[in-house]
Amino acid sequence: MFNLFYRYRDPLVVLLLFVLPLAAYLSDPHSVRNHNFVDRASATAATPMQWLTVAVVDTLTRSWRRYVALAGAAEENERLRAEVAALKEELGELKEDRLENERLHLLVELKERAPNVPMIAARVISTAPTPLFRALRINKGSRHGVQVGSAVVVHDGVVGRVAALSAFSSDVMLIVDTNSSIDVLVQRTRARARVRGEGGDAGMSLVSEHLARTADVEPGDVLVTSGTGETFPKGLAVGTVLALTRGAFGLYQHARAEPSVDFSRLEEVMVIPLGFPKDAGFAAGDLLAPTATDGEATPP
Amino acid sequence: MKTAAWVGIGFVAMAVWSAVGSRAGATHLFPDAVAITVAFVALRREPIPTAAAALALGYLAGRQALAPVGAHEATLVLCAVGVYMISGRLAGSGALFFGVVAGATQIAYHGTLFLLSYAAQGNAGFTSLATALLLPGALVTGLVAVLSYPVMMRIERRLMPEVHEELSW
Repeated sequence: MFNLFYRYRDPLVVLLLFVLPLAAYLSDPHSVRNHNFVDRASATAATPMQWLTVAVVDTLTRSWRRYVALAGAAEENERLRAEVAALKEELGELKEDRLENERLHLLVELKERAPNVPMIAARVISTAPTPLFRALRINKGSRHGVQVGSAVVVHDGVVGRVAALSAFSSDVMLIVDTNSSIDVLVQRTRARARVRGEGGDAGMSLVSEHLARTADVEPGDVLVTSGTGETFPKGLAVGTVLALTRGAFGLYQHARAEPSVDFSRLEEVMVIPLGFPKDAGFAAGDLLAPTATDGEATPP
Repeated sequence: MKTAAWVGIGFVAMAVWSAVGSRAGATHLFPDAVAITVAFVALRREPIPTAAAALALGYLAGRQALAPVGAHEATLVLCAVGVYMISGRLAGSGALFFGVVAGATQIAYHGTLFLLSYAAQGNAGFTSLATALLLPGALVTGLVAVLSYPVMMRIERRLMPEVHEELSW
């Protein structure tokens, strides 16, 4: 009997290991009992491992989601960068528009201050290609009523006069060119003089000619157009006296003046054709109001 | 005792995978650590240790699944013995063979469990899902078995080092 069992030990034990649980199951296939000691022990042993596993999985999941979120943030960052660039471009355009609007407003104001003086608005389209001459080109020519000798002005004062003309553009000689000459008055004392361009690269300044030695002129005095001749109406600002030089003898004194106009920032100008009414003119000092630039508040 | 170590390893693997499955939301497609362990033991142990290990792992798996007592145990013992008997005739080896055996073990395990439950209770829970995921689950189990085979072999060599006896004339 024992030998028989020993001979079939393996099949019998295996069969027993199969039959016993099967019988337990079949006896009550619906039972879901509470944990016994062994179950609790196994659950207690499994819990820290599962807690650790879940913690690791959660950490990895969060890291992954953060990574994905960062990847999304990078894409969003790119999109926002593009948007910011577009907005900057738009802002720049708006800023340009605003500045242009301010400049045009000044020109309109200039026009309003001398309503009986005909004016043609023009846009600067180029400057002189060589540094030896101070000139610029505007986009209005003979077809628009511009003539040789027409005055070119801005709100700040005199720019120059048209020296050459074509159908759709004009070349303007600036008053700082050495070939330019213009009759002026010392605004404060009404002393007469004539100024021409000094021609120096550094200064872009004016020098006076025929300023009487006895004339009451001081540094800071404003020079305005005298209104003589047919080119410039009376009262347009030309420049401000910087320094005076009197020789030991002679009829004249020499004044050095700074132009009222910043030629490097010209974009729009007004052309005053020849033949404007002789009684037309700008009130003294009208064109000397400080110009607000770049939207900054003008100090009082 | 050395087979008991595999029960412990299988228990740890089952606990870890079930924890991972709780976060993945697709538990049924996770590899069956119990099937892998039972298949490995069945390929390397005698029938009684194999059946005992299957019984123990079935018990632990059943408890965690809150299954009726005996369902998992009987099913796993049957599968383990079946693997033992069939693999002896096939005489295969290697990681790939182990993967195929593990996958087949899972199919047999889950399929038999389903049939047993159906026979005993007249129905089985989550039938559609279980049958739909039977083959994909077996594939995942087989793949993981192939990947984990070297590690399991290393553990096995630690548990049962080969003894080289000196020849005596």
